[in-house]
Amino acid sequence: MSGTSVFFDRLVTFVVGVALIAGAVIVIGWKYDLFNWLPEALDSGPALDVTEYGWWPWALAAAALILLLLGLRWLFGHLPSRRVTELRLPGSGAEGRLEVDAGSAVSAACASLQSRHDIRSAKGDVRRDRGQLVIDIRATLEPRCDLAEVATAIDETTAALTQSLERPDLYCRVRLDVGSRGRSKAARLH
Amino acid sequence: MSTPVTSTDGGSDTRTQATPPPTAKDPRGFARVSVFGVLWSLALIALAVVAGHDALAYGDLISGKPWIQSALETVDGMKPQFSWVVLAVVAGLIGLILIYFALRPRPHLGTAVRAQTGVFMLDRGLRSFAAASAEDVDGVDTARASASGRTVRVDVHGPSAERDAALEGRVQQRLESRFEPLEQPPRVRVRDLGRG
Repeated sequence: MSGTSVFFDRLVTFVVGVALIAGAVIVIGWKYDLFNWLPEALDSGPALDVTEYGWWPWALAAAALILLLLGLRWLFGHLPSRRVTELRLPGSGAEGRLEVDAGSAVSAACASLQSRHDIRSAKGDVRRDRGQLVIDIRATLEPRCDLAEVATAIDETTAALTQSLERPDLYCRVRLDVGSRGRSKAARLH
Repeated sequence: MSTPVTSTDGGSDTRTQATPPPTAKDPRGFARVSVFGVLWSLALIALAVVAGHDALAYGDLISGKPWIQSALETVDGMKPQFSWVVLAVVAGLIGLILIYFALRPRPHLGTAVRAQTGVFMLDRGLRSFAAASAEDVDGVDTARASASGRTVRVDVHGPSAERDAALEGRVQQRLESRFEPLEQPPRVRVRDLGRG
């Protein structure tokens, strides 16, 4: 889901909310004669006159097409952030393209992290998120790990990964969870 | 993304030292307003269907009366009724709910860890980390942690029947030390509940 999509969701939701409140106030005011500028009864005559014009069906057809395209574009904008499967490498050109399997590269980095004693598991991928190309890694730590040491290991591993990919536009986000204490608790002495 | 390394003997080294990638935007929870966004997009498609139906109806490509014209004829001459007031109140409340969701920010899911790249400890991870760290303190049998806002509360069960302030102090010190690698360490509140 892109940031633009969320922005439009917020904007339209806000406008619809304000419109509903305004409509509610007008209806209540109309019923109890609080606004003297409102007519006594609805008059849709002018609107019905518009439907008689020759251009009206064409306007409807154009509106249908535009609304359909906008609706579909907006709907598909809500799909989850896209996973990037292949990354183009420097040196690609008319003679040929150099691409790397992004998932395999990140998996190798995760395997390196997972080999540490203080990281129980790690997995990740490359995805587009809010306008950024992001190395997204989810790692579960051992409960008694040293956070500073883990952070250093992540710095080193992701540095090696981006160096191998040669893509300076990559950002990184590593989300850390902590595993249950069941596995490591046996080592405790009471 | 790499910086040249100068060797200690003053000579030029062809190796490069890799630098970690820049920090991505922080992890955020689901934007609930997007549920309404999906509804609005479906509403646009529904409006497109209505407009398309009427365009075809005017062109005699399908049978039946145009829907918009029928609707306009139905509401023509209507006067406000009490049931509309009830609907208006409901619509007003829905409007307030929509404004609340439109302005509500996406929740942060974690706390940044001091690192050169983007490393974030998720809130649920922080709770497990706090509880495990508290259990490592001498005299703590079991610990349970909860987090709200920027505060981590840890309830511990120690060996004494009464509340042990010294034990609370040791746990507090231990947790503050463990949270140091976080960029904004949370406040820690420890409570000894006595023998569990």
